Amino acid sequence: MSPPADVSTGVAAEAGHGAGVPVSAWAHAVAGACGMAALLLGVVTAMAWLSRIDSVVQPLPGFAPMQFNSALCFALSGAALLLLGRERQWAAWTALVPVGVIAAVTCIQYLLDVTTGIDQLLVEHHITTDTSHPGRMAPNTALGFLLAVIALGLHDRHVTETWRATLGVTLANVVLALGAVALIGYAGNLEAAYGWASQTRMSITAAVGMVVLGIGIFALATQGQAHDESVTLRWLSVTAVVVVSALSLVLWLTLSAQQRADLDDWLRLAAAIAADRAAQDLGERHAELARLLPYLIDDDAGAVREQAQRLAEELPELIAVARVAPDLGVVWIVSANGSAEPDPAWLAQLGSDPEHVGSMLLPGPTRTDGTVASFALWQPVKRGEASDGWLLAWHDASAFFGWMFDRVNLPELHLRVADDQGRLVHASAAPPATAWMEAAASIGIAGTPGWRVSVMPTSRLLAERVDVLPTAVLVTGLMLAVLLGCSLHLLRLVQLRGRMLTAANQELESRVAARMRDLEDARRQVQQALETEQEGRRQLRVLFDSLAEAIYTLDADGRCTYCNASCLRMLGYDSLQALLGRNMHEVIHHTRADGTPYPVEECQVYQGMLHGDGAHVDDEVLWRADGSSFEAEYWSIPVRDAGGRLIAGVVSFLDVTERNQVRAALMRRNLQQEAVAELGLAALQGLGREALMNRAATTSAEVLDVELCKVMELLPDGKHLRLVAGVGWRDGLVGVAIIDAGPRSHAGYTLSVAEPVVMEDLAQEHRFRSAPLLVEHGVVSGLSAVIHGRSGPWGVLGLHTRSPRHFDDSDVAFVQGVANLVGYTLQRDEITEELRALNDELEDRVAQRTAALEAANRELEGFSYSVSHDLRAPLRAIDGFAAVLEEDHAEALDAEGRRVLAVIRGNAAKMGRLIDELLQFSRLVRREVDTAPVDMTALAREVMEELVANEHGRPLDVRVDPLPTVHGDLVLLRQVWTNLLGNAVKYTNGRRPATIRVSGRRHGGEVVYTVTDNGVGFDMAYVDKLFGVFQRLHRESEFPGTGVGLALVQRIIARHGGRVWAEAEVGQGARFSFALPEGDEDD
Amino acid sequence: MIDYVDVQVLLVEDTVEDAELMLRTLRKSGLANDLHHVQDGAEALEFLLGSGRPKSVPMPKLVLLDLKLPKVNGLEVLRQLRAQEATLRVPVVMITSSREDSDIEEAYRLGANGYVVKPVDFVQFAEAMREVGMYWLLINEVPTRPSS
Repeated sequence: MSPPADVSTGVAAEAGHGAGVPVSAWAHAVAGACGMAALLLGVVTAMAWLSRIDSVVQPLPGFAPMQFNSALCFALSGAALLLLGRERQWAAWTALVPVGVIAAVTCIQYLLDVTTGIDQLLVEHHITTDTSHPGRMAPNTALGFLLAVIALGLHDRHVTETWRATLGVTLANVVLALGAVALIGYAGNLEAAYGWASQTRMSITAAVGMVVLGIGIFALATQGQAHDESVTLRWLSVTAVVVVSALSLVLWLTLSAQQRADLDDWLRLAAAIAADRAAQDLGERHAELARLLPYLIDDDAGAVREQAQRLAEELPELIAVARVAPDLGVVWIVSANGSAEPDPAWLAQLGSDPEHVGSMLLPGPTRTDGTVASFALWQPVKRGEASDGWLLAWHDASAFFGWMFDRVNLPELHLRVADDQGRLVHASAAPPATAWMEAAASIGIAGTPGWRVSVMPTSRLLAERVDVLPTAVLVTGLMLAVLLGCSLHLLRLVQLRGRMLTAANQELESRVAARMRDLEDARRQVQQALETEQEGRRQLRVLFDSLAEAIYTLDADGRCTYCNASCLRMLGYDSLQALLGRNMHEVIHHTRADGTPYPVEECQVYQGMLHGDGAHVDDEVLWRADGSSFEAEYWSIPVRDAGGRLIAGVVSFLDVTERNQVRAALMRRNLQQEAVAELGLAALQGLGREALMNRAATTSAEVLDVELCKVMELLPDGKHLRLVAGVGWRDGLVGVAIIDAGPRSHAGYTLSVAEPVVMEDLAQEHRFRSAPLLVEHGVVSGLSAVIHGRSGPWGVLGLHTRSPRHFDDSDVAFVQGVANLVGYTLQRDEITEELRALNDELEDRVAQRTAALEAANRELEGFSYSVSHDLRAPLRAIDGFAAVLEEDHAEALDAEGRRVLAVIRGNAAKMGRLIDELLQFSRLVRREVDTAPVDMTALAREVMEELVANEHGRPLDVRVDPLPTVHGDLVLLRQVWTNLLGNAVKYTNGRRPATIRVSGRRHGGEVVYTVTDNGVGFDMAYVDKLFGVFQRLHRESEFPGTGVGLALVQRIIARHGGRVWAEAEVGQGARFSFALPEGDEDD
Repeated sequence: MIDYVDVQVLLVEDTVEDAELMLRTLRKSGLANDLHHVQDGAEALEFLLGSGRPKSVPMPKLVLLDLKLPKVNGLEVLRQLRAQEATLRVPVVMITSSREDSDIEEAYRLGANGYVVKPVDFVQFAEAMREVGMYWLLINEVPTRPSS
């Protein structure tokens, strides 16, 4: 997905659910058309400038011309508009840059009141028209272009953010409004609408161009937006604000211009009146001075001065009157308050032009603030044609014009009088309200052209004369615009909200419909479930009736609501009707097994259901319809409502009469077996004979619950039985009482039949009659069994009760079991005794043998000791004296004698070696084996190195592999390695190279070590002789040795509990192996 | 017959042949001049502790003691010598045919100063005797005066 698509989606979402057309064809067309129009307008006007076709530049003589810069900007803006419509962004921006520069610079020029030269940079302004700055673009035009540049620069068809479009539309509207206001100004002849503040005015063509440009930008800005009602409303609100604002601006301009014109007229009139009054007053004063002239001409000096005095007194503004001679000398001065001097400037001016002084009115000296303090009027004095000096009268300026202003009586105006040099003569007290509203008029008095009266409105006048209507219109219009904009915006919001509401409503409706469907489904499922449940209930009935277990249900009050077939059968009822609605406790559970009443308050079936989770009882009875009872096991289960209140109950039961009987029998048998087992255990643990008898009697009596028990031993005479143990017999009988063992007694009869005898009733017994002991103890029933010894019967075990008692097979088996146990124990004890005697004898014999062996051993040790000591002494003597003979008497012997002597010595030495080795052999064999872990690798290598060292450079290829560690005697094992490796070295003599390999491994609980050589080997036929003492398979001349080494090896290995063996072939080398037990790693 | 004046070595040996060979060896080494030979343990004890030796004659410098002796055996002789203050420090070297570990251990336990097994081979035997004599008589130093 490309980003623009994302953005347009976002816009669509923002605008609600309107599926607007993304690009509006008409907007595109309008933008294109407007761009083209602006371009044409600009190009044509520019061509006209260059070609000097003024009628195109300035359509009507009175109208302002479109400046060349404006034409250029129109052309470029139009081009940019066209390019943007064709998505040529960069080209458009390139065209916009000069427009922006020209417009911005022009605005800066206006704002800062400077001139940069951009106005006539391209074309000289040749059209004569009243303009503030030649060639400069009108300020409203510049503003329009600036806004247009911003609007077009912001435009990007791919980025259709709402604020961009809104800003574009707003700016477009402002541009359009600028043009439209100017057009209205032209239409209504309202200059303020197209010419701002006396600056260069916007031409009518530029106004049209602005309108076209505005429309184009508008269309461009909106073309990327979705077109639905809400968007249209948005543009409409913006447009409404701008248009209404523009209209109210125009209206305000129109009204205020009208008012201004009225005010100006009035001011001009007031100025004329004031000037007229001033001229009149000054003329009168002049005339007054002229009236003095005749007196001068008559040379009536006194009269003149008298008249002058009168004037000075009558006219308070008059400072003094002076007679000036033609030579400018002052003849006399008359003043109201005595002393005054004429300004020398007046005299100088009179003297400079005696005939025609320019003005009758001479401004006097200035005050410190620059205003004129006084002015003078003069009259030339003529005598005939000849000039005879002047009369000069001077006035206080402020007093005179103040007096005059009072007479004019225009208090709502600010009046001021200025002399011909522009210096302020006098100003009225009321301050002016504005500086820019002024009307002036010349004081029309001969020779005083430069003096002017100007009037300015005071705030009082403005308050009276200026109407608030235009301002009200403007404010109202602007407020209306804002209100309209807000209203349209609100309308749009409402519309959006409404659309959202509609959507939400639709969604809600669809959800309600879905919920309705779900509910309908649920209802259908419930219906099906109900139907299934009814079917299930029917099947349940069938199921219940087919059960072997009895089931009935109760209501909360314990009344029967249902019974299954088994229930009816077990209780002995024909139909369900007989039980329905009846209180089941009262019907079947009213009485306990022992016949006592069973109140319902104690009934576990019902109470357990009422107050708990139900009950399980298996030791009570239920009552049948016919009044009989049976043992029952039953369960009750409560059914509760959501609040935990009992609403029904289910009770099931089984007839367990038979089961309980079986169980009781089993328990009894179990008890008997346990008793036998315990007794057996006690016997095994070595209970003494007497204790065993007592225990057998006690246990039997307890288990079978009888009063009397007897254990009788057949005496050696075979004719009497003695009571050796028992329970319940009269004191002093046990151990003492002896009865006849003949078949006439109970016990004797038992012996004679050699099997258990059951006696139901002694009184009825006919098998035996002589039973005084039983009769004495009131015995009724009994049971007896034979106790067997090793050779025939040993005695009798008997049990008796004083009340009638039936003994079943189990009891018989139990008694026979106990009797057997006693018998076996007796037999075992006898055998054990015999065995012990035999054992003792055996041990005696072993001790004797051991002593003999030890003696023999000691003897042997003594023998070997003798051998070691005594055999060597003569040998040493033989060798020693032979040596003495050799050393001391050699010259007495011939060569043969010396040879014989050497033979003697050699044999003596050999004998010595034999004895040594034999001694070593016996010593090692007798040595205690002292085991510890042995590092066989290190040991074998150490021994090997010693042996190799003794071979003095004989080439030996020896390799000892890492060997397993073993438990053994270090000294003895060193001997083993010494002998085996020594043999390997010895029997490889002559091999080049001699190869010896030592290896070891763990195998089957053993550690096996092997020494392999490539020596002469041996014939396997003699392998059984290999390990015998002094057994040799090679001649001593070939390989010296005594034949003890391997015998020693075998003894040592045997003493370690191991074995040794050899494999070889003549000439092919030999392999000796020995295996040692792996041993306990913990040792 | 025997000159008691300066007995340096007492040889206790019942086998006369051995004794002769040992004497011959020591003599050849120049060590036999002051040697006294007795043939059983009783004689040896008599010589060392009893009246068998005149008071003027000092203790020998070395006793060569056979293990297996008639009447009183070598180990018993050694035990008695070590039980007496006078003979406590006399060097005693066992000269015997026995290589039994038990004999060697017992001899040292009783305070023997040496234990030499008599080799059967005469050359070795002679060498052993010579070296024993050399060491104890010429190389070894003893306290100049016994405490008695």
